[in-house]
Amino acid sequence: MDNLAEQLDSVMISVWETMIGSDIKSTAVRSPWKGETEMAMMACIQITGGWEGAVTIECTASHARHMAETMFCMEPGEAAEDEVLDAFGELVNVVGGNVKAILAGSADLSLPAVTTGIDYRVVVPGSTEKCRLAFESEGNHIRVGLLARQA
Amino acid sequence: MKILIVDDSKAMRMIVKRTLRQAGFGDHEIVEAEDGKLGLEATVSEAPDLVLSDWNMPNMTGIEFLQALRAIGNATNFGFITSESSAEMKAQANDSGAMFLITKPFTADSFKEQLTSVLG
Repeated sequence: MDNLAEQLDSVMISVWETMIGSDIKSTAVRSPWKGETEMAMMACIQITGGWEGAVTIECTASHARHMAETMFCMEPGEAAEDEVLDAFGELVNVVGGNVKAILAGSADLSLPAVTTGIDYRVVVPGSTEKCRLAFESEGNHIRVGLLARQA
Repeated sequence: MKILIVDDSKAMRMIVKRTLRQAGFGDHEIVEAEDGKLGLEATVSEAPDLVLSDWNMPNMTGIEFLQALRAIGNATNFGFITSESSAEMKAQANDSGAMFLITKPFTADSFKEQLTSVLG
């Protein structure tokens, strides 16, 4: 794991611990993963300025719901769809803000965007994948990606 | 005392409220607003003792909210809770009249450290 990946790994573990109260551990990036056959959720936030790129987080829609209900202290099935989207978007917002601090102090952070789907493809024009990490939480696979664009 | 939490994320407002309880500030009255524009209105109408605001929000950002508040002569205690914390942002927050900037993700200890002087 290179230095950037190590820092992203550390940010993810810290965010999950403090925002969800859940331990996640690094694992191998699975291919294929459940998001190719099961409804998945993807949150994306863009960084522009001194460093340009995007951070993406993905997991199954059912696990995104579970995390949102944990954050809201709700019972299973209680969270409304917009609450799930809001909670998942806030996770990428916090991870993105910390990535921005690592890579580009004076850059701007966009508002988060969240989508759901099966076997989708994420395209940030002009970018290449800088790193991709995967985590395991309660048997669920969570993927985080860092895309870099030439500033 | 009354605390106004301003964040466009309902999940984050929930986490801030939970962390306030964990830090021992659970007895204070909490009011909420969803962006800087609504936060500005709520600060005037609710007269909170402390505003805890996100930075990156739609309609009006946290720093625009703080600057608008000071421009109308409102000196309410104001702190940022944000996922971004560059030296440039800290300086801008300080210059605009913010008391502190807490970085997300945060802990109850970081709340105690920054809020005790205001909330006791």
